[in-house]
Amino acid sequence: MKTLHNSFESDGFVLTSIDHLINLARANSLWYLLFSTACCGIELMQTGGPRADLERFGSAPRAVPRQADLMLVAGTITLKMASRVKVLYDQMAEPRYVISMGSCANSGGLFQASYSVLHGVDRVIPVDVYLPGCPPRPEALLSALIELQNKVKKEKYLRKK
Amino acid sequence: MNTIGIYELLKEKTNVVASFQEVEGPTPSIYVRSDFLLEAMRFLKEDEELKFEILMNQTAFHETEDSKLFWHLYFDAPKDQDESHSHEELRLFWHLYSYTHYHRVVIESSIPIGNPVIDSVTSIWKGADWLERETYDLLGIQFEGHPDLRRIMMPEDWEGYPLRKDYVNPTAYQSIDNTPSEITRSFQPKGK
Amino acid sequence: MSAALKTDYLTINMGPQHPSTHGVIRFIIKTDGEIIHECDPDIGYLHRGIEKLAESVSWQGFVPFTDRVDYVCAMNANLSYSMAVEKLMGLEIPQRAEYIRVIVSELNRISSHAIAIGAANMDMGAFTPFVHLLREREHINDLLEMICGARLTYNYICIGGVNYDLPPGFKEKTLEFLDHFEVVVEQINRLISYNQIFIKRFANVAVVPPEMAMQYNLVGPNLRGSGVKFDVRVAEPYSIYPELDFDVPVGEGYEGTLGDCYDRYLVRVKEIRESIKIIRQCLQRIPGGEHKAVVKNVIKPPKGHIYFRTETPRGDTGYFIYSDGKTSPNRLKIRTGSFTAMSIIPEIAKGVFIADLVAIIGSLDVVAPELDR
Repeated sequence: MKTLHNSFESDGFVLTSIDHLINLARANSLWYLLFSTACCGIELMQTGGPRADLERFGSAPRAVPRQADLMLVAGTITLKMASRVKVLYDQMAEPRYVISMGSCANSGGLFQASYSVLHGVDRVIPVDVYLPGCPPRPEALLSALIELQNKVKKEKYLRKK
Repeated sequence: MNTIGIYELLKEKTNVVASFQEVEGPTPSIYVRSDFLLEAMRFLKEDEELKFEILMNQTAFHETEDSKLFWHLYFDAPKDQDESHSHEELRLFWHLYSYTHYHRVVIESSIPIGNPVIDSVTSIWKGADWLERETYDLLGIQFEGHPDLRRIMMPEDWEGYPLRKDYVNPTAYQSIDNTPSEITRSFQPKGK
Repeated sequence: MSAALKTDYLTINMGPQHPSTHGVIRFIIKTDGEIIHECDPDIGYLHRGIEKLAESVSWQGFVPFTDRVDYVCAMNANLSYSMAVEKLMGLEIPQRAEYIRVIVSELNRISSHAIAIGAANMDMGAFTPFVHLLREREHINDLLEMICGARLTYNYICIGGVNYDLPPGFKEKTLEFLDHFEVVVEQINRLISYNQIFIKRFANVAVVPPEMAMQYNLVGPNLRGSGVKFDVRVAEPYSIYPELDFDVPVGEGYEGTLGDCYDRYLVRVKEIRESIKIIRQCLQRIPGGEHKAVVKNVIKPPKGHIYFRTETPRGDTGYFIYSDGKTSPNRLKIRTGSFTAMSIIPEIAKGVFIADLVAIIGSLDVVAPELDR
């Protein structure tokens, strides 16, 4: 999409592949599921708040998994919760993405010696971006989102069989 | 009123088998034999001079001879299963408070681990309901007379009582594999 | 329609993923039309076994875990645990540390109440006040970040005092913030607290009479909302609270019945003002000197048990610690305000509308990790 700006300046035509165009739209409208379990949920709220403002990246909170493209696993996942996380993930429409936010979601973090904590959310659902920190700062979450956007932009959406 | 005064009142007015525990730490407590628990609690709540309307906290723990015996075995089965649990017991604590007289007291009791049954105090304090459910869930103490004794923190089909000292962490639950990774294992202390 | 028309109860599942249950809490509700007939909270979706972990970490090593017990007010949780261990050891801490502790925990109380008020509003459908309060909360996060470098889980208050001294410029910035925040509280009051729509949703809903509050052992603002004037800071004074001058706001049936959702809500707003008062006094009087007592790296409190409680934003948090004289606790139990607040819901939710259940959760200020630990 580097040529987009120049094309408008010259004659008003844009020449790009459909994949690029669709991916640009998809990457900038990653609606996330409001799903916060623990401490990271507060930082997620703060990121959605006025200072960090997650919505300027086109990410709006959704309460229903069916409307969401992105699942931000914010916080510890316990064994009791694990099957529910799977259910939530299954309800999301494809293509769907997962950011595992914080050490607990990555590996169990501080609580990995506990009897009831899952050792990382990747044991139940696939994860696209791992974000370390306990809890990660809002800036870190934004960086993870940009990382995911880059991933989405590189996908070959239409050509995929 | 301080604990010794409450203890003397309890001995004077009821025939509860109790003893005054002074030795342990900053808080003295009153030890009540488990079969007299309900009588003692009812007296503590209803007596005009005491009026303990509040059950602040209810808890218990698993006391072994060497309580740290199993602490390093989080992911491994105990190496030498102790066949005799006779020296082990479950110790229970109730912390009471009075909004009338602004005093507090600690009641203590103990039950053998082979037969963990004690009277429920839900008929005296409604707030005991969830506290006792939690104690049942995590330590496996059966409260007789509790209206709705089921697991509260752990799932219904969970096995074992996690806060017992000989509890071993499960490596799987409902087809979800939860075996600790190599890195996680490397953080565990190596034996005794 | 005839009154004898027979209807069946409909079982509805609410949660664990639900935007207004404040974390992962599940309710199994039996409804008769729109009216709740029976409500059974199913908790434990965030049960992380912190009490068991305490048995395998050192005494100081448990402080970071207390942050995660109640992350909305981590300083207060640090304080409860540290003071419990200090009481068990009989440790005296420097006067300056006491002042710093009170300042940071009251700042944290403000930020916690800001979340509570904002979340209660969000549950009622008013999203804007929540975002306003998140913006204000950032200022407190900045102040606390100045002190300890963390935004949410501080690990600042430790056994024996506090980990770092106050940085230069902290006093001025805090005073500046307090001046600013006093205006914000007024704005919030004008925007929502005295807003008729909000009052109609909160007043006369889920009344908790004082006797019931005591039976269930409600604590903190929830208890005071029922008109019981009890505050651990006053009744069982700890730290430097006896020297400070502040009021304990109680519910008076401001817009309806005593002990309704609105009373519990307004007590929190009033408590913010008291906290501001406390911080101002502390900043004025704070003495110089050390910020931490000399504590060994490996501590072994004497054999014994203690139940110590302090006033946190969600009521008193009590730490029961049983020490057998070793390097880590033998048993540690945390009794929290949310746990008892949650246990009252089956009783008060009977006969209210489903939409009011959300108001109840919001007004009781239940936070999942504190509930499940």
